[in-house]
Amino acid sequence: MGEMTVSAKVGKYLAGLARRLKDNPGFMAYVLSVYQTQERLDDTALAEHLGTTVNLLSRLALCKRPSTESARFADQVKQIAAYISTDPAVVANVIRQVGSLEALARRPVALDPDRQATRQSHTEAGLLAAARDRSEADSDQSPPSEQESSRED
Amino acid sequence: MSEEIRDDPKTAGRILHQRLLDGDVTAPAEIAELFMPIVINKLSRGYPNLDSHLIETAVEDALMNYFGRPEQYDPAKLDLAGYLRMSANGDLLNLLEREKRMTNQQSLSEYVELFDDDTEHGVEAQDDFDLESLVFAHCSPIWQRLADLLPNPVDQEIVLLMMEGERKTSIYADVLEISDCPPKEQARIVKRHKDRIKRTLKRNISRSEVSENG
Repeated sequence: MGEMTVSAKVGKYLAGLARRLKDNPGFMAYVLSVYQTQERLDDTALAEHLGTTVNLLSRLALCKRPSTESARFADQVKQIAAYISTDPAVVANVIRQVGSLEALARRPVALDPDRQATRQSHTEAGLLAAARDRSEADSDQSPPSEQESSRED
Repeated sequence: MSEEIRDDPKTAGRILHQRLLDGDVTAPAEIAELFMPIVINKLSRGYPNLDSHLIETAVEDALMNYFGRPEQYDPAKLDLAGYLRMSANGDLLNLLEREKRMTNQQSLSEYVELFDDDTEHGVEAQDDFDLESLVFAHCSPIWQRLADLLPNPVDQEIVLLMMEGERKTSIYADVLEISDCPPKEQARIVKRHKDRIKRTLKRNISRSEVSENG
């Protein structure tokens, strides 16, 4: 397990790499980026929300993204949380919320192109609200939200 | 990972690589945290005049490629720092080569404009076979074969130092563990090793391979 501080120089290197991984859904960098956009959080606010420091956010961003469908999800979240010294429940909620949004975004929206355009314009806000509900409901339960949404499809 | 292991990058690299292969979620972050400063520092010494942003980008690329395909790295052949350094170095050399070619094309087109097209004698611009500049600057596939051509980690380290333009005998002497020898003896031994390595590479890299990739 690493120390709970990262030197400014190393922090700069890690932040640079984390920025490059924002488009890679296999990394926490992607999860944090999506979450930040949807919750309109800057780095400081995100760090505060996660109960960590801005410096350690890069560490978190460079972790692999635990799969909510994996039996190891809880252990992996605990490992990440310990790595950045934060609460696993908060990390799990962030991952689940982003996962729920992705699953909902994959659902067919509408057959009518006009309605589809209208609905797409509402998608982000609606999905965020839905995901929030789901995250809160799921926070103490295990069934992965992606599975729920695929059953709904 | 314990402090002792972190202080030994070769052992740490082997352990972290295995953890990455096993799907360990914090392994990429730990690898980046341990190896980015090492690799960037080494490359910065080799390219003192190069924009640090280019070096950092090349190291980021090397890590992203490694994270995407960790199975391509064979820890039995090369330590992780050397592998990442080699990968980043290849990117940097390709980048520099592209820039050099663009500059040459630009100056050539400026030069040609001064003359008519009916030149009777052409001059083929071909320097002597300068292994360091040709092999080290033009032939990126060689880096994939380096570990096979030179399985000895000491030889690999010497090649990496040569790639980075390291000229100080004392640095090579450290790698060869001959720092206790008198300076003249060090210089002689270092030269012997560098010549042997160049001969090995030269035997295995044909001119055609170099020009195809150049």
